[in-house]
Amino acid sequence: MGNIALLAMAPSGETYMVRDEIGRLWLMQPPGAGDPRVIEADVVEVAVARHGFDRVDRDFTSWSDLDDFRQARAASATPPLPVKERPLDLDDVERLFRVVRRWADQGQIPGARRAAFTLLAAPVVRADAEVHGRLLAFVQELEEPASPFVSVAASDEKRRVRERYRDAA
Amino acid sequence: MASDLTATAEANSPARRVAAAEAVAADSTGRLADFGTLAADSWFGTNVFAAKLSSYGRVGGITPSVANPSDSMRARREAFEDAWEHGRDLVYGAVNAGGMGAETYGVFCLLVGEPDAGAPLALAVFPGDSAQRYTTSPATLDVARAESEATAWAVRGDLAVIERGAEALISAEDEWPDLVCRADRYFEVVRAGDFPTTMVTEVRMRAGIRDWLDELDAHRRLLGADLDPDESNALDAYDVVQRWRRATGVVLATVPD
Repeated sequence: MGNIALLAMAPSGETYMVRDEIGRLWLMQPPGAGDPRVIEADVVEVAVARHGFDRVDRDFTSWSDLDDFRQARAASATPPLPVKERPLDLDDVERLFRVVRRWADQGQIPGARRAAFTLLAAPVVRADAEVHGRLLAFVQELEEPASPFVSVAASDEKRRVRERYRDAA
Repeated sequence: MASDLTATAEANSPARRVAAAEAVAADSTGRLADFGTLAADSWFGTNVFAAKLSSYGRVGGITPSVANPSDSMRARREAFEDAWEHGRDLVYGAVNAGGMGAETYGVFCLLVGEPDAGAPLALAVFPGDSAQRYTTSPATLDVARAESEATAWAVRGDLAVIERGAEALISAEDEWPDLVCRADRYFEVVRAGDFPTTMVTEVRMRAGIRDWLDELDAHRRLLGADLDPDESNALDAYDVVQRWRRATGVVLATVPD
């Protein structure tokens, strides 16, 4: 078994090419782009020669060491955009709201609530009553228990009394 | 002596048209004509990684990649480029008739509907990857083959019929875009000349990548989370795309996983 190696990487670090312990070459891409894919050596060459990938050719004894090196290089390779943060527009709000709803569905309630409040404060949301209302309803839904508490009557007699009392009210 | 690439490609066009027309005429099913139409109604696609997209955003143009000065493949690339006027200014892409393009080289697929607009200094299509098809190591170029296979942008549909027609006839129609362009096989397009990012009409990403980027954006913008450098770089590139959407109406399209 040989060392693993980082052969080449996009300067930004999200796409890279490695050699594993038994000499196979792999294309590694970010989450969402599919599983790692075996590639031929030519792909690495073309990526470096024509597509701006950095050749690295460095051996590592562990995948975590390789990853640390890749992240360190990615951190230094790209200058930050010389512009201030772009204010959200309604398209941004909708796509971010989808993420926040997903967090809530997954039970990540504190994060979803915090994120929703941040969205509520965005100027574009405050200027749009419909979107603001939807977000507010979402936050209120997060604040409330999933279903109202209903006590169970101990007997049929008591249940009928409760129903009469409720109907009268 | 460098050649005029566009003129070379144009000179080959009549023969491409005739060959494609003969193939279409011989197909009684009519499917080959449909495949040719699909391939003719295609874009210049270029797949880029995050740092490159951000760089395009900073300079406002699609620019040639810089090869590593010490790299052995550089000589092969330059052997090809030196065969053409303005060869060192070439931007490489692939004919894209749908799908994610040559995504090995980047998860962002930029599409230009009319690369022939803006009076490019050079523009041509080749039946495959030029570095692998026409050059050998050490840096020997098969000039005659490259010149004979250069094809005008306007007849890329005919080229597809000639090169992939037989496969198209035995493939389902939803597989046709992959016959035109997939990660490991494509019709290469090269273009030189002013290439402003305002010519980009669409940016395509896999649905999973889009979800990942939206998730990162929510973490950074809404929760103030720190991201890993590669995540942060990817998100900066996504922000460039969102700026284009707002400024010029670039379409953000999603390809199902």
